[in-house]
Amino acid sequence: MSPDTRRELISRSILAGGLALATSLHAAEDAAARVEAAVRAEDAAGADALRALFEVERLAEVAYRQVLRSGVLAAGARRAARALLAHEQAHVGVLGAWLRAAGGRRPAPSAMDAPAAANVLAAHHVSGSLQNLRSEHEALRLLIAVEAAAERAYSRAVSRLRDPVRLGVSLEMMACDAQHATVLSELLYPGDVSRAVPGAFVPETR
Amino acid sequence: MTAPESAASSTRGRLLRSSGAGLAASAVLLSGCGGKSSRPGAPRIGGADAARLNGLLDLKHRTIGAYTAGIPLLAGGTLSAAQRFLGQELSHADELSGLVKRTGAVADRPSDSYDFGHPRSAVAVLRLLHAAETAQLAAYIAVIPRLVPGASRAAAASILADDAQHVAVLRSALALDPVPSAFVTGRE
Repeated sequence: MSPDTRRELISRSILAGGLALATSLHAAEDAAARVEAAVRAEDAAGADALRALFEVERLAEVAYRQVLRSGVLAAGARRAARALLAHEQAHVGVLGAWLRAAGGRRPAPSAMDAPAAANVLAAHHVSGSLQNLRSEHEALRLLIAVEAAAERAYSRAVSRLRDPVRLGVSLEMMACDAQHATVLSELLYPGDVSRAVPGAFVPETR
Repeated sequence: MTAPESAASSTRGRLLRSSGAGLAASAVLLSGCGGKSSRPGAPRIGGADAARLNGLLDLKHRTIGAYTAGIPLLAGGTLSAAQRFLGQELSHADELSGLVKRTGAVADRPSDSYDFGHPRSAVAVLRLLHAAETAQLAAYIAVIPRLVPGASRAAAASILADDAQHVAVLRSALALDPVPSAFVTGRE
């Protein structure tokens, strides 16, 4: 199977999940409502963890938008990125609701501009820039790195959050972002499962 | 189709002999599978977590059995993926066993056998593996929030995330949307 055929199959299968995507957005609303209805006070470490999660998921949302805007993605990768962007937006929605419930102020959606995104990339040890993306390869590698940063943030958050509802939904989002990395790797390295699922632990800490 | 535990090692041995170099990575991981505790010096885990962790370990053993039994029916890319995932599942079992031992309890051993029905095709095996992996996801999401300390939750979450990646690959192999939801519950 040629890499292009495989990419097309991946993107078609993602597109075919359009109904499932709409369902996931409703699930996001349900998840946010559940958490807001069960306001829990996190301690300082937990509150910091929520803010860190919100920041990295906002970064992911901005990254996907910027990559799509850059025009470097072929049709199949573009369809996949749009689907994954929708997931990131759902994550941002839930995390924003949690911050409001915890008494925090949720930054406005447009607050993360390019310079701010560059700072956040650096803070999460992600090399590369969202500006002047030159190729699909570069764009996908950057998105994979952003998803890896998200996994590290979720790993820290899971160890610090106390509310079981937030923990459960955080795990669901963490698992989703791990799957994003796999899909992106498959687009970048078709058929190479060693890249799609490189290690036994995500993030790899051993 | 069953995967007799008594021959866990002989089953794995047959797998190694029949599949040659492609299982080199799995062989390394198999040799490391002994339930030894991970990360010396890590905080002691509460005894209440022993049953929860053993529950996750039981599911892990079952999933390992599914891969072991199903791999002979696979070929090509799906065979490579399943072999890789089997090795990773064995690492997960090792980690979970270590976590159980830190509670002071005994880690559960695999069952003598598992009933996986009679899958007779690669597609049937992939569906079996998908079902096994998604059952794990659902269990992890239910159990992890109840684990203490936080380091245990993070360790188990790192396994969950890897299993989620397995699910994405298996779903692609089944011509399904690899990531159908923004919230992975194991019920997708």
